[in-house]
Amino acid sequence: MLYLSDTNLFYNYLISYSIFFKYDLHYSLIEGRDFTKIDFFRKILQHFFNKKNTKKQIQESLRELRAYLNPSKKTSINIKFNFNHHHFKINNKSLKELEFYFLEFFVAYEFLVLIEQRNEKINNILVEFNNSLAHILFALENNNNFLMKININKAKSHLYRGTLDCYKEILLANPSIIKKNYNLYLKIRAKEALNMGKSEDIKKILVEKYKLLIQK
Amino acid sequence: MIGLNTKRMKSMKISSLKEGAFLSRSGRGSVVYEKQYSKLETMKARRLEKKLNAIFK
Repeated sequence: MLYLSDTNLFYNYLISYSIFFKYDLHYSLIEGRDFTKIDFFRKILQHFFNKKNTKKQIQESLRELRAYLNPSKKTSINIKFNFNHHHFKINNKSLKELEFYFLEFFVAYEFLVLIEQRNEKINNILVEFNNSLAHILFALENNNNFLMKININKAKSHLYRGTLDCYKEILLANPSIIKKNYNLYLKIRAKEALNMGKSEDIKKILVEKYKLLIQK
Repeated sequence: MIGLNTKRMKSMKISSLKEGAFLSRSGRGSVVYEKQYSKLETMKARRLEKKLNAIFK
């Protein structure tokens, strides 16, 4: 399993993302957001989670991504990322949590793209993915444990929101799922409302419940 | 209303999702290129997509 625990690979991935991040910060409000590039980041990170993929394949994909990102336009935005491999300190618990939320996000996203081509709604979901990566970037940029914790939690929240949004879009597009499982649907909605802002465990349960509901 | 391929979805077991088997189809959906993309940008994105498909075939 590669997942995120191969910190070398994840570090290289984040280096590429930091190049895009600066470019996006500069140009997204001038030229519009480049969702194609965000989608490439989504695809490649998703490949980290496929046990059939080898480390070599991931490394090769990251090389190709880096070459592709080489921007034709320069950015003069004044941000320098100082994180380096030696400072890539993220504890195992946080990594495992991130893995859970990334994996669930990818699964939900794949379900959604079974029924919809990329459109405005899907772009909004990609924004959640993009925001989660930005928080991870700044979690690692800061040697401050407190800021790291806050940013990792925010990254998880964006992925959680993106995951539930995928399932909600599927339900909106397919009212028959709700009709057939009306009581379960009502229970999930009540659980979601009554547990707002509560523990991580509840969030994980809700993700599982929504996933089960759309597969009923 | 968008049709849902329920038969296909039902065949995806949660256990297999956790194993990552389902994710092997990751990236199969074709990339939608941005409207503002120039011909050159579209070409570059297409090239990357082809390369990724070749790497993870």
